[in-house]
Amino acid sequence: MTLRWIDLPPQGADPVAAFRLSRPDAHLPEDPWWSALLALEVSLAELQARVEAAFPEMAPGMILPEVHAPDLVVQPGRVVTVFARGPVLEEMNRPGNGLGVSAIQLGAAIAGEHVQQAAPLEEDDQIVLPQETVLMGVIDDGIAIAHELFRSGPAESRVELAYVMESAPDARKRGSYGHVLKRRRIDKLLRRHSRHGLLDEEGFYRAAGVIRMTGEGLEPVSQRRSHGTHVCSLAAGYPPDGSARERPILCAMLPASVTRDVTGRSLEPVLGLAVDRLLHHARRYRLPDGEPVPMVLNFSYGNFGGPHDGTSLIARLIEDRLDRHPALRVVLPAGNGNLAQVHATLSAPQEELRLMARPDDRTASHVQFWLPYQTEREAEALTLRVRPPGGPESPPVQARPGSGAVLVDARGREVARLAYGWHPSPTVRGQIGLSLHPTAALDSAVALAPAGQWQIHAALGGSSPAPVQVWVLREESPPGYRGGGRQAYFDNSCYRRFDALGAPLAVDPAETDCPVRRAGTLSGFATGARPVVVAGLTERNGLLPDYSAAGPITPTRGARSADRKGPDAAARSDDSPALPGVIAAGSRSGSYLRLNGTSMAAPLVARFMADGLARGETVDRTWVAEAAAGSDSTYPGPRPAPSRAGSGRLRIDAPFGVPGSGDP
Amino acid sequence: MTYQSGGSPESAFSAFSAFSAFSAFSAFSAFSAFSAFSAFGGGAGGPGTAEALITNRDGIAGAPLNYDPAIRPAPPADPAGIPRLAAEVRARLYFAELAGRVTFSATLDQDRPAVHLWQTDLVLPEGGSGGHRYEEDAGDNAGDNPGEESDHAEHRGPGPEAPSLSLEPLVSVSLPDIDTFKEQMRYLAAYADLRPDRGPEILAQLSPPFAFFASIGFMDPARTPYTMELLATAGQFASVAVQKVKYTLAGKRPIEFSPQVQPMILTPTHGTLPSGHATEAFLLARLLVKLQRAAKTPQYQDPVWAEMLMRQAARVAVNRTVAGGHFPADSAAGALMGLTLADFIAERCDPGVRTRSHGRFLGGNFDGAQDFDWHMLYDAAEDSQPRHSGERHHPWARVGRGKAPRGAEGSAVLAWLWDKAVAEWADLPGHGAGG
Repeated sequence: MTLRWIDLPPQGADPVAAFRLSRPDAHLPEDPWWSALLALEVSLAELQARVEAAFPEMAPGMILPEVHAPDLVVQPGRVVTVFARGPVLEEMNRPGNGLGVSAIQLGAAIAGEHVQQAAPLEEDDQIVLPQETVLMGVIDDGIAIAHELFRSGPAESRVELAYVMESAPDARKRGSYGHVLKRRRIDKLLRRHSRHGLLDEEGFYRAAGVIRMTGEGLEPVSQRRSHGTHVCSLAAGYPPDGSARERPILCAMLPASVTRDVTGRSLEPVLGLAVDRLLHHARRYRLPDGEPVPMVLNFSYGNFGGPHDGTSLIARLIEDRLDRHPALRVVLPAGNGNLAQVHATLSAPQEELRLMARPDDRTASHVQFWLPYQTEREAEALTLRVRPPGGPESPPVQARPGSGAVLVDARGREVARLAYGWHPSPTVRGQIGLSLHPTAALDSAVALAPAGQWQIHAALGGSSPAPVQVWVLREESPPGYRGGGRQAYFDNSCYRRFDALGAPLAVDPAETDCPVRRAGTLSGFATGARPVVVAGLTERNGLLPDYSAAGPITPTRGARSADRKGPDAAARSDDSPALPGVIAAGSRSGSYLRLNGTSMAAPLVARFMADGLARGETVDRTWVAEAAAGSDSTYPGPRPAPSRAGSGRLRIDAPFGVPGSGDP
Repeated sequence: MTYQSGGSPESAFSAFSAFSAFSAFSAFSAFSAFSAFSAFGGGAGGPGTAEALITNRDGIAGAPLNYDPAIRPAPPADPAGIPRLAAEVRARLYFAELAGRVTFSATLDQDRPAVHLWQTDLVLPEGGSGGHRYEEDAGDNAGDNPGEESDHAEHRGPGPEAPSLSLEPLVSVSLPDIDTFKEQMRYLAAYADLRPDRGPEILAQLSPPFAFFASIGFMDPARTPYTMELLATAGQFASVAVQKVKYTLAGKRPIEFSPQVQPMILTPTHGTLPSGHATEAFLLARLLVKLQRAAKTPQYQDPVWAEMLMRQAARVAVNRTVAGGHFPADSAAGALMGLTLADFIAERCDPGVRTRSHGRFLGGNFDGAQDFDWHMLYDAAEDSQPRHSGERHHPWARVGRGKAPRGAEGSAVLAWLWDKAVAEWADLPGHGAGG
């Protein structure tokens, strides 16, 4: 393969977004829309007017999800999810664009048939719930809402609302994206599909649009194991024997299509949309004293990328919604990337990184080099040179607007890109992005990047003493999902994977000078100031599982140290080394199975927090940290490092499956 | 199905895999219970045993006795003798009683071939009239041996009186359009995602899925030997009928529509519609429902048993779509066929049942966008099939009901087997006595 570097064409502020938007049609679904998070300088109504004026031929070039309708004229500064066409987003990604958008984060390319203009939402009546009620919000993949743990009787669902974010294009009464099932409809379907005391769950999920069998991709609820069902039951599952607490469920099921986008993967826009949708409906509930009903929202997903300083668009969206909904609490997992070798910290004047691009990777790979907070842009703060396997070294790319280079194959087709971008206030940081094409494709129209070791030479200069933080974005396709993503990772020989006895090292060796680090692998979602972030814990021996990701995060602008060292607490993610995972619901009533990961620990803490809220306690990060500090001494061994376990190990009984340790 | 080699004279038949119904027994390893005999040194088998028996006789038989045994002829066609027959012999006997009562015809239209399965009834002549008697040619040597008059009287006399034959429709299946199958391909893609989840089930169900039904209906060779014989016979009968239908319709398999199906098991060489797995699974499920209800055991009168057995049958059928071998339409046609054949077999077996069903799968009306849903074909509460499935004016399945013709001959053999099988599902006499 003959490769050469050419000049970078002018491009936008966010290098990853710019790269993804410029991919040829062969990478994209039919008639693509993109989901995107936007940081607005103007109101939504103004944004819409400007987009219509700038792109009259598109009609429409952008669709505002109906959930934003009540907020069209509210103050600017909001972060919102929209659906937009590629050219509109390219303009939005241009610094100083006239549309009133200060930053974008691209979500997924979505086939046009799944996105449409929808009628405004009808306002729900207010409902008064008992005083000890806590709403449980769960955003995840497929959730088997008919499982007995989410019912109080054969045809009495405890799910107040389920937002199914991927609908059949011909589904009746769907919104701009997906469709919503409310409890009355769920109960009706439960009745209709019950025969002789048995619920026909296959029929129920078909009628509910949760299982469609269209051949477009995995539908988790059709499988025995579904992450969303498991998580939802850990947060809010109670047997239908009258012992259920007042925990109505509001849930959203993320679209599987996000995992099919071969240009990259970002859940943030659909996550933001799901949060807004659940909060819109949560407003209808009141306690008898007129106060809003407390709500604990769990989102058991993680990512690797982002600024990791609490200023990512999704972190800002969550902080903003927490401001506007004082009764809301948010729980997130620390992430499972501790040993994924996807993070590096560059602090020496000259650093070398080895990026392993795996063969048979059908999705693009992205590496983000985040510069420290700087009031002045200093081009010499970071200079990168990249040498692909078998190819020439790139020209130097610097932290300066317009700096970049494009790698093309013998036919002149782009296969990789290095580009600088700038993230304005409140992030105020530069970023150099390295984006690689897939290394394999079934479509011969897709130009391929070479698999193997990419050598990255970084030269640090300038006046800032803070390091450059590097993350490889997540691309591995979860088990069962299509997409064919294989995670790129750093392959430096200095990275020590095992200790002297051959056991995997879960913390970086003391005094290591290797740039590839475990410290700092904390999920990019989990860097905001107020969400409760939960690490994993092996309950029996009190050790943290090797996969549980570690802090710290990067200090926010102007701060001398980060406002979190790591997660807030560690909680049960594995029962014991011999019994990995925790037992919770499978995809059909009566079925239970084990899954492990920080995804399981987070909903257990959400359940724990809901009990505290129901007792009228002031539940926040501090409350969780104090509870964890209090129960830590009941575990064997010394208190784990705060960067991995926060204030300590929080003892939470397994709700299902372990006799004598469950709920009464 | 496994090839059954055996030492019995009948085993020549087992060269026909169609007759390997006996292997269905071995699916239960039911008759390996007989290996207990091998404790005696292998029974009558083996050349060593034969030689031993020769010297043994030489040693003890002595000179011939002038012996007049007090022996009587056996009663003809007496079901009481069935238990004395070897399992393989019984299986052929049962099979003859079923397979001898159906025949086939076909409409060989290129666009929509159809095959019709007919049930035949022998109507015995009443009072010697109405039947046709075949006269045999007595031949030239009549009267050559006057001393054996009575024998020759039978030879020279009229042949057996022929019963009249009645034909009634049993199952009709027509093939959906090729476009319908093309549309169904999206289900092949969707269900392929479930292969990692269902793999062990799919492989276990390469053999007849008795274990899966035994996990709902309490079956074991020791407890329900006759139920298992009945089910094995029914399955063998169904597989023969299915092969005839598949051959006639010649439906192409999913693997021929796309190179990306890549089934997880080898695609069988026979046609795609109807699904043999669906036919057999729904046949077995419904026969079990009928046995359980006929036994009048209180808990089995609850339709929840039928519901679960049908779920099991549907799971077996859908697993073939997961594996990449069948379209949902194949399962729908197979389920209709199996459910209808269950009614046919029950009527053959149970003299108390006089009603019969006629099921039709109208492939041209099957919507390619439709997945398989057994609820459209069976009502578990009533153990009945709805009169039509799909759109009222364009149903893809129709079921008619009728009665057996007057004078139709039943099967004493099957009635005997049925009674034995039903008894296996009944509570013991002491049940419910309060003690």
